[in-house]
Amino acid sequence: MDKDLEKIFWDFKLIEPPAGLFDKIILAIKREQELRQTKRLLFGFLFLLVISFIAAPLSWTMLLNQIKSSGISYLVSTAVSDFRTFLTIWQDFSLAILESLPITEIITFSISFGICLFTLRLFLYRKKLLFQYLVNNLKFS
Amino acid sequence: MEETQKNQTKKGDILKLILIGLGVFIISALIFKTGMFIGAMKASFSYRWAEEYHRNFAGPRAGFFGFKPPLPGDFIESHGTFGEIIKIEGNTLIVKGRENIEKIVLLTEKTIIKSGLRDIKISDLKIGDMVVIIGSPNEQGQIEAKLIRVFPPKIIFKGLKFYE
Repeated sequence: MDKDLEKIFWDFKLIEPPAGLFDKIILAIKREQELRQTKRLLFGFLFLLVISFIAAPLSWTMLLNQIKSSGISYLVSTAVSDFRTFLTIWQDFSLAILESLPITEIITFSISFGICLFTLRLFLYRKKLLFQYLVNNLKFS
Repeated sequence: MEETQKNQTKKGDILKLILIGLGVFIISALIFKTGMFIGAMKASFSYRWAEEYHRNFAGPRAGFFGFKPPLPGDFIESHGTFGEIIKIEGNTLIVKGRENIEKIVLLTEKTIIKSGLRDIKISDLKIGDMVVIIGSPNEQGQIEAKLIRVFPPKIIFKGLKFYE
């Protein structure tokens, strides 16, 4: 039995894989990973774009409305027009201005503005990659 | 050699990130602390304003026919107000401002009253004048005015609501 097996394996021809196959496999895996990353990036970018398109104008309008109704513009205008008086009672002036600041709206607008800037930066830094991915996908579809 | 340089750059980046993080944290903590201070001041003034409402506006403590004093949606600003003068009584003004909140403003000898570029007297103030008042709150939920600026509403606040 053992001899038969030996004979079989003696005659067995070892097939060597073609040269560079390993590298090709690794390259293909890397490409696939890159593609997946680009896809994730594209979806992230689109998500952020939609969010910033909705949030930025909305929060800006809210901020403007609050600035109008909080009266902060009148306080600032008084501080500017009566600058000497402002200097003598600056503490009360500053507190009055701070009290009427629409904090929630300022924070909301800052966050949405930050998202807008981040989306723009993402687009500027990765536009080549994103366009390439889109063009390739459109070609194959 | 290259690896040492890379390591140094990495360490520099980490230090930069730590410094930025620390800066952001300190700024956020300062803003938070200021917010707490301002909020506490507004809350305290609002409490006094509501407590003294019946005395200041001559109504019964429990309100007319069980109605409580009109509570504002947010805390009331204590160091300034803007709105329309609805009553003048000696050295006291009642100003109706944002969200129709009426505030009592006390005038002293030191109160500066201005209309345009000129100084005016208390007697020059009229009911219906649009004013911006800067002052400090007292224990009775009133504002002791330090500066009163009279604005011509149709010119200055054209296109804007003076108060809501």
